[in-house]
Amino acid sequence: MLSIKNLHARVENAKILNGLDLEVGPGEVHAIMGPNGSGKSTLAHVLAGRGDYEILEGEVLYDGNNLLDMEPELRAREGVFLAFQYPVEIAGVNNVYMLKAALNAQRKHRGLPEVDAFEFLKLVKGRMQLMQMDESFLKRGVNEDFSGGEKKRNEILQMAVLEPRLAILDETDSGLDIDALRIVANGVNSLRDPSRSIVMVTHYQRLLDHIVPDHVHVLANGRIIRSGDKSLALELEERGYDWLLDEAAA
Amino acid sequence: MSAVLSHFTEDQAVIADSLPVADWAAELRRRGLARFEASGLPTTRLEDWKYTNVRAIGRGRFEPWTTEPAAELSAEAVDALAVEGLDAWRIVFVDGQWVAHLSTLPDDDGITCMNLRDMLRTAPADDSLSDWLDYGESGFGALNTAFLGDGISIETSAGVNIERPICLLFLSTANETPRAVHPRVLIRAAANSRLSVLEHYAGVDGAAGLTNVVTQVQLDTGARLEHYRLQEESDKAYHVAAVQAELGQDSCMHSHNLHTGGRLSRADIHARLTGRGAHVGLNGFYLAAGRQHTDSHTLVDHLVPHTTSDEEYRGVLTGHGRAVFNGKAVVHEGAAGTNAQQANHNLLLSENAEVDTKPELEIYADDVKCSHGATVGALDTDALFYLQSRGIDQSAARAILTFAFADEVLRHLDQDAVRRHVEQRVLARLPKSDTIREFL
Repeated sequence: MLSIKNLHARVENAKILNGLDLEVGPGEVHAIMGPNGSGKSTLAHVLAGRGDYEILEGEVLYDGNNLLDMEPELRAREGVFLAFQYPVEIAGVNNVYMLKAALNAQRKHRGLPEVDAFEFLKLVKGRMQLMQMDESFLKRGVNEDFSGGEKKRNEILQMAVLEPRLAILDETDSGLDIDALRIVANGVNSLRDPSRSIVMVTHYQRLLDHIVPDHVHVLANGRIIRSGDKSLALELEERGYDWLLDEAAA
Repeated sequence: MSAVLSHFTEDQAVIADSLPVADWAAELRRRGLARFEASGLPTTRLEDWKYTNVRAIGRGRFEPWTTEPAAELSAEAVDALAVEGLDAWRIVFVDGQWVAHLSTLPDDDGITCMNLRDMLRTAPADDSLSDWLDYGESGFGALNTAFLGDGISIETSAGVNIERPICLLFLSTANETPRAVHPRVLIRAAANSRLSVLEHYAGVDGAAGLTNVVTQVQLDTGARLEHYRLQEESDKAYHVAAVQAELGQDSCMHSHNLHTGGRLSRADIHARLTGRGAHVGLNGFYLAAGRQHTDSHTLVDHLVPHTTSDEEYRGVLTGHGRAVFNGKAVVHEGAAGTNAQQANHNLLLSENAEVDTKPELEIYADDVKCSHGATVGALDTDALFYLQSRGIDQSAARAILTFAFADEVLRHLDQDAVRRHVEQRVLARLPKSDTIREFL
């Protein structure tokens, strides 16, 4: 599904990724953990196609195709979805129209008929129920005046409507209280599917109590320095990152 | 007198014959002409005209408006230029001249609409018309007085609520020699009356004339006016407008000044808050594309205690489009308890577009709340990436964000038909607009 080989990237003059390798198979859930500044969010943005990053070396294959050559909108239509750490507020653009335009752009790309307003509303209302969002969200601007938790729920709502094949969740748990975390995690879990891969970037083990990963990786200085199963996350929770960083340095 | 101006003097002599008026009005025209000859057209040496050069108007050869019938426009042609779906009384002016058979006057009790041409011929002297001379500092106002000939006077009686808006549709045709027209609009609302007036300026393609309009507004105690200016002249036309409003105690005016047409347009909107509790809302939008130039000047005088003003202008500039915004609020001595808010936001979509914005505050009183601010920027790259990351292509994302920026002002228009009309005009200027229509 996703194959990252020896990826080097920089933003402005800071080199953030330094030879990152990662293989994600269909249906797998991978957690990427690591200290602040290790390159987790950069990885998420590079995969989604943010233009501020310069790729220096390496390749990223998505279903065997060169992901890095694709415009962000094409990646999205091919099934890549990034749940933002800081979802952008867009005043004056209706949340639901944006989502409908997004869904139809994707369907058009795949040669499917566009959904009309009625069908779409039915679909989105069902998904909103899953995310415990009330109908006032239908009328609001994209993330406009949403609380932190509402924004994160809105991201997963979009994911639930767009049904991506590769979802990248960038610190989706940050800023959530325990109830909101449970709602978001339930949303993500309901979207687990043998054909859908999920890459979660997170600081904290607590998200992994709710969304149990198949693989856990530790990112430091722009490379993956340790991979394991969910027990690795528990070990990190207990011991912190320093011992791993020391080992990597040695 | 410079050579540039002499043709206006010659033309004024022409209309003195062809558009005869009562003695008081003829005298007023002469005073206007004398003023104009003394001041001439404004030059960029004047601070208020620093960024708007009107030399092209001075050099232009315009035919004066006369009683000759203006080019015929069919009712269908008029409808095509009007705001679709707007339920309004409609008075149509073609090339500055009131066309009775295309017009429907309000038949409510408590409102009188009079053809200015008739008033100038038969009515007694009207002080409002002569009062204006004191404000016509730029030369254009004096020119308007020198060429007084047509327009409208709208008056309400105390306490009436005129629910249906009154639409003044000023249409320009494409004459071989472009015309200069100088309409005058008088709006006088008696105590506690309410009305909406829409001045709509549109031209057939290629209309290259000059519209130089003066609107005078007087709101008595508790009166309310929704005032729209829709400037949609052809992209060859020149448009200069002055709005002068006097707001009495507890009166309220919402001005919606919407410029999307014209090659060169300038509007000066001046509100004088002369009674306690008076409020003016100034809502503006301009779009300049190609080589369009648009200039919005507003001035609010807070003259007595406890008056308020609230202003937001937004502009979108593309191509070589150029805009000027100057918003000034003056809190005069003794005008305690004034609240004046002002904002101007501009979106530059091309490297060749330009905007000069200057919000100004002058405060000579204590205990006031005033704020002003201006921004000039490009589209938010974070928002663009967000939309792209959802599968929306970049050009559509740009159009969506541009439209949303404009709509922050347009959504405050209380006439839905006008709002839709202006939104469609804005959309028509944006690339990929077909893909974002559903966002309306």
